[in-house]
Amino acid sequence: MAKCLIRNAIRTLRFHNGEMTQQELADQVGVTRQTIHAIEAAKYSPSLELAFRIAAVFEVPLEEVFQYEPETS
Amino acid sequence: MSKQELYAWVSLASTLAILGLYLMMVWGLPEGMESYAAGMVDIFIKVIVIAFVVELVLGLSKHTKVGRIDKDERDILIEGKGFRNAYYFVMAAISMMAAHLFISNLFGEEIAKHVYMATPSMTLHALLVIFLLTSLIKTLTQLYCYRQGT
Repeated sequence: MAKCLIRNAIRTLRFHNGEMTQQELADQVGVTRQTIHAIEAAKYSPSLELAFRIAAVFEVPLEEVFQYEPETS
Repeated sequence: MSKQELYAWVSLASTLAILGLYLMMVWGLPEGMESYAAGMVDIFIKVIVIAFVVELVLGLSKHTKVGRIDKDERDILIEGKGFRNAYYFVMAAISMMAAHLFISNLFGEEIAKHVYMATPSMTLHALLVIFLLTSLIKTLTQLYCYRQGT
């Protein structure tokens, strides 16, 4: 079975949005800073709802924040 | 460290202290260590009191700016993993206890003398230890997940 990897551009988007901190983003989407850190590090895949909330904060479509990359082994 | 992780550490400390205190009360300390009993009881009680105070402070901090977000979806997922592992442990422990009791009943009083949990009081002790170990496994699983960052 092919492995899948969800990459994200949260760090870049935070930088382009006035160097927003992880805590500020966490507060806006209603999660802890540790969860934002885990998502950024691709260690945790957020729920669809949280993913949409993150995209809404940056005012970009979902696919600009998260990219699905199937990895063939 | 998130608030839920801090809760898990506090829970680990209090569960270990309660387990230690309980095991000491039931079975006592090994030979040669009796003189340390009073000191160890004192330490366990202090740990339980400190754990209670920390949990109280964390509970009250919900109403402050610092503790706005109490638990999010990742915390719930990690808690679920903890409950799953605790469930596996409790199922295995209860099955082993049931088998143990069944065998001791099957072979009558002769073998019951050699069986550890032949008396209801020993069964109660075993159940209490299982209860505390289950809580410990849940907490350790949570801490493992938090430390791994998953």
